Amino acid sequence: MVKALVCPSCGGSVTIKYADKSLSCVCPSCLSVLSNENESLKIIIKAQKKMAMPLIPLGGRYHFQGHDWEVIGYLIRSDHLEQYQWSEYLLFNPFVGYRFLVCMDGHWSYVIKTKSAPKISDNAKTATYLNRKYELFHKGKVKTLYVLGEFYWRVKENDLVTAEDYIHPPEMLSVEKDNDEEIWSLGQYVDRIEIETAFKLAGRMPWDVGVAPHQPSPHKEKNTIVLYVTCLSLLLICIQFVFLVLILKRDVLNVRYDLSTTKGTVIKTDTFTVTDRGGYIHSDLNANVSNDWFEIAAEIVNQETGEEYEYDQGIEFYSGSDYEGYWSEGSRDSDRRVAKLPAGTYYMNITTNSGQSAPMSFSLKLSEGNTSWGNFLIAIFLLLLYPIYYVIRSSTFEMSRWSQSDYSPYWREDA
Amino acid sequence: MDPFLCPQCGATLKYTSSFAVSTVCEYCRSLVVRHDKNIELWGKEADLQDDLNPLQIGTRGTYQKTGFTIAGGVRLNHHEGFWHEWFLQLDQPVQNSNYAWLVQAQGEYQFLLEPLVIPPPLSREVGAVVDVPNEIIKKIGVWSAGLLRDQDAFKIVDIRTAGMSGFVGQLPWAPDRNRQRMVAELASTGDLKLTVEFGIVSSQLYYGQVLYFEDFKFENLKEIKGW
Repeated sequence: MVKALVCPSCGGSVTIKYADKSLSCVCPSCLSVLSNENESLKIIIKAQKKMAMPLIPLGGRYHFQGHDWEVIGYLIRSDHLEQYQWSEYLLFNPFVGYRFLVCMDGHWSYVIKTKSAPKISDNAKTATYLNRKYELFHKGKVKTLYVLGEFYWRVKENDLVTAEDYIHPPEMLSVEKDNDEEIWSLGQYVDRIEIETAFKLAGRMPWDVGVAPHQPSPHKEKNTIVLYVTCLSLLLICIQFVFLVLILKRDVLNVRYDLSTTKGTVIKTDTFTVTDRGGYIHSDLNANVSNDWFEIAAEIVNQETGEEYEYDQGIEFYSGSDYEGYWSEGSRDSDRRVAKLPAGTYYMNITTNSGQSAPMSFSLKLSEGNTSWGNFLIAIFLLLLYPIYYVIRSSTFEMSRWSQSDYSPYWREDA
Repeated sequence: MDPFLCPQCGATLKYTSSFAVSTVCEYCRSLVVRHDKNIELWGKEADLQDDLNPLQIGTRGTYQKTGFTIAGGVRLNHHEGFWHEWFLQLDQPVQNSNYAWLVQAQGEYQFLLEPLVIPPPLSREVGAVVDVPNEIIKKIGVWSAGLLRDQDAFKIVDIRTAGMSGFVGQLPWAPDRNRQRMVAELASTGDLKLTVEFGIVSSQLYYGQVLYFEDFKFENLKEIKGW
């Protein structure tokens, strides 16, 4: 029901497209805000100062979120200090009713009035709506700086309302209160690509700045990560366990020698057998050194092929006493991994050496079937790299989200 | 039931709902009121004159799996605009309600069940609490559990006075253009919507829910030019 009237302020013509439903409109010539009375128009605000042009032109029809919408109203709103400004578009569809499209710092929300009033918790920090809990993000005054188009409510002069925002990304629950009423609405964060396509804004989209209160975190793969890390860790533990069981550790050589001199003594051991069970050969050396070092140069010789595997192993142990009492340094034991050896019969040539050549006894034990823990630990560490990266990234995102709020969980009460 | 004939033009009148008291003749727009077996001509009625409203007589919808048909409607005007109330014939009773209302205001849809009669409230001011008998609270509580825990449920948050400016189809009472209806909205939270219509000897408590257009799965909507 289009109504054409004369602006009581400037005499220009004013057309109200949905005159039956719109209670206020703005004169396109003088920008006065007018009240749609029965047969006439009354001035609410005389000649507003011109502000920005709406990015989405009024009167346009767009298909968005499953419905056709006509953009019928435009508002520029701000906090009461006018530091933060944002724009709101009133969308109308005669079947579905009214919706809002809000653009703040280049972030877009699709807003609908709630079906019922949410319940605010006793400490006023959360609000519950349809079994979902929203956390308080912002409280403050909101004012309307500029309006264009037509509205289903009576625009008020000096419109200052108290507003509260509660978030549960990607949703934001907001309430606006004045003396007469309390209006709750639910905003859904909308991806900028969807807005750009639906409202034909290619090349005209404002940049999105920072993180919006209800912007969904791009780091949402938490559950996948937990599952992935748990499964792979269990798998690794299983593999490691299978290794431990399959290649049981076994001593292949256990010898002990008493030497009268330890410098350059050459010993040839009895033969011993290495099986094909796999795993590493470990060498355990023990000697009763005292304030000296002791070293062996060992060759493990394959009796059949003559192939040699050489290694060195040393120990040192010093002790004494001073004014602080007894002290010692080093150890009389040493354990090292030697190699993987093919199955076969072997013997060893051992050449000993020491600092003082004092007589001493030493024992040497070779074992096979030793499992490596190194690879296992490296694998676990590598596995945790991504979750660690994830935790850092997602908490950085949450911190920048809440940095705009006075109610940040990242701020301690006493801070 | 024998068909009633329009006393004005002789056309068969639509009385599809047994709860309908009045009906507007589809042919000559006469308002006809039924008294048991007699009918009375009340005069000529204007149409609703709302070319942007998708709802019409015969529109079908669903509320909680129960189908309904719009049998009639009223347009109410108040100083801040207008709203529509549609009289719904239910396919089967919902919560012991034989009929229901669909209220349409500022693009919002409220489904309200057959009203319950309560004593007229002592105070008709915003902030006053409407005294509702316990058995009625219990009755609504069966339907909306949140109500029993909500102490402010019956507090008046808004009052408006409205007159009826148009009728179509069947209605459960004889409409009166001169009567001003005083309707209060109550502060019920949760999914409950409560309104009271004040009367002299008794008041009526309407209860229901606000729902979105999509929730009703409407069929047989009126075509709207350009949409």
